Amino acid sequence: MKTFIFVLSFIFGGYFVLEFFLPTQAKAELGFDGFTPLFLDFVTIISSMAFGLGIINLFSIHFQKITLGLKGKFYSFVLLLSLCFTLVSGIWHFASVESLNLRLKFLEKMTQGDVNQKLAQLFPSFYKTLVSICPELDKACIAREKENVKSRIKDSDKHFSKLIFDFLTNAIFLPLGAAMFSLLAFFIASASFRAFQFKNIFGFLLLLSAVIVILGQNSFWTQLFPWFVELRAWLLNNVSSAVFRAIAIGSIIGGLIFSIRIWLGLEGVGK
Amino acid sequence: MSPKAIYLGLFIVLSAPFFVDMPIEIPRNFSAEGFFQELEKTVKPKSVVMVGLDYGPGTSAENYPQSLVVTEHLFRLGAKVIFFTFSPQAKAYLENVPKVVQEKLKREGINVEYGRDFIILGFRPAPAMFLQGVMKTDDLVKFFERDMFGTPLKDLALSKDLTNHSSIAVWVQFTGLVGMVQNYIQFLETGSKTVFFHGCTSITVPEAHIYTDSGQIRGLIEGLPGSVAYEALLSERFPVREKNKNTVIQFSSLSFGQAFIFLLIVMGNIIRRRKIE
Repeated sequence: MKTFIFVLSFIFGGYFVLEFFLPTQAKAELGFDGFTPLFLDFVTIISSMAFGLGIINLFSIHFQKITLGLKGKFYSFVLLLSLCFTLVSGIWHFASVESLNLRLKFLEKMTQGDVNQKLAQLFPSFYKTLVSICPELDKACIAREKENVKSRIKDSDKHFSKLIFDFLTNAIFLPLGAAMFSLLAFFIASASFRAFQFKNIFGFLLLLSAVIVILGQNSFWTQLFPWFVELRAWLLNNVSSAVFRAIAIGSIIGGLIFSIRIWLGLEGVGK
Repeated sequence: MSPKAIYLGLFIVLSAPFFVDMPIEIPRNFSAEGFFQELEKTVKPKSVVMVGLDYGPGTSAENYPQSLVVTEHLFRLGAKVIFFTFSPQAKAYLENVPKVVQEKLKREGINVEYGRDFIILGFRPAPAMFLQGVMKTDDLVKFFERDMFGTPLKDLALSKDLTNHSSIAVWVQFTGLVGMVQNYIQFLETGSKTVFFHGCTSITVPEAHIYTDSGQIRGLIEGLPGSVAYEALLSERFPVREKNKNTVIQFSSLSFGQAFIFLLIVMGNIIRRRKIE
């Protein structure tokens, strides 16, 4: 199994190295254009599978907690309940909109005329509904039905499933998410009192830069000392950019080395 | 000083501007000024602008006001705006931002219409693939296929202005997510093939500055101070416009909070020195 994973990592890793570095002409001659979208579709599929795995994992852990009556079972119940509600309302809304879109495409094809029978076999329920509305299957009636479906697509955001989904998102998820992040302000305030201290020259430099950046955009301070705005800009454009560039280059080189190690099977599962 | 006293102090300082009217001077912000001037130069009436709102509730305090002021500016310049996101958490903002600006402009008698002046593509997964696709395709209408509400793009008037990536005049993106901006810079080849503007949070300012310096980001708005400075520039350019009071109040709150934190740093150091002595 390890050899299989190593071979797969080597082939696909090598493919994307070549895909990135080969000139466009050479890639076209080697047929890369045909394979790249296919491989990128694989990436999407595998990423989507990760969501599925995550859901299965959540269910197995928290369901066990609930059934065994372990500590925190109430929170596990709330988590699973909210997961189910969000999932069902989201999929319900998606399915209803997609079904309308499919129906719209069916009606568009029907107006073209020559593939009616084939379409009727492919989508018997759509055909049955259409015949009940337009028994003669005349173009004017189909066009009217098309407009009707279009307006239903437009109004789909008033659908019950959408209202539930929006409520869960806008009234619960977003405020809670913002509340979680806003707590940071309180921790930063506490940390600034306890930890932001002038202990040595490096601590002093860090403190000084932080104070310049904070006060350089503070209304009260810049009213007293307008030159602080320029000082802050100079610090960010010169000192901070230079240091950040060095950090970025270092981390990218580290990432590159790590990728090469994975590619050659020197790291992780391929080892 | 106990943490409870610090938390209470910060809470009072941050919430006071929401209840008491405190007039505040808005400081200059060079990045916001650069963003404003460059956008004025680049966006002409009917220019197609792609706006990516890649943020969630965690950074909305900074990115949301940025989105509002820039969207308002784009509509005032007569641009055709296409909103989208790579973050599933941004869906609510995607609907809210154009709606709020649309209603605001309506009060001034400026009519902005969905389908004609702007469309919402919704959430698009896999940023790298989406951006590569935009750069490669010859038919953006076919590539985007449908808007967020499921309406085929070809049925919307704005789609007439879309062909390939060269029909997009400007890309604007707001995010607080680490690594998101690099997707745009890498796959849109910003600076050479596309014009790119970026709105970042105060935390990601140092990262964004390296790309502004290299010309890969044409304009930058830095956090909430950036959007307040932009708000002031908009009011200067369009004197009759209604001001976003909320943004100014949020900035007052931020200024008081910063002053309080500065005070805590000074106090923390004084108390420590005294203890040592």
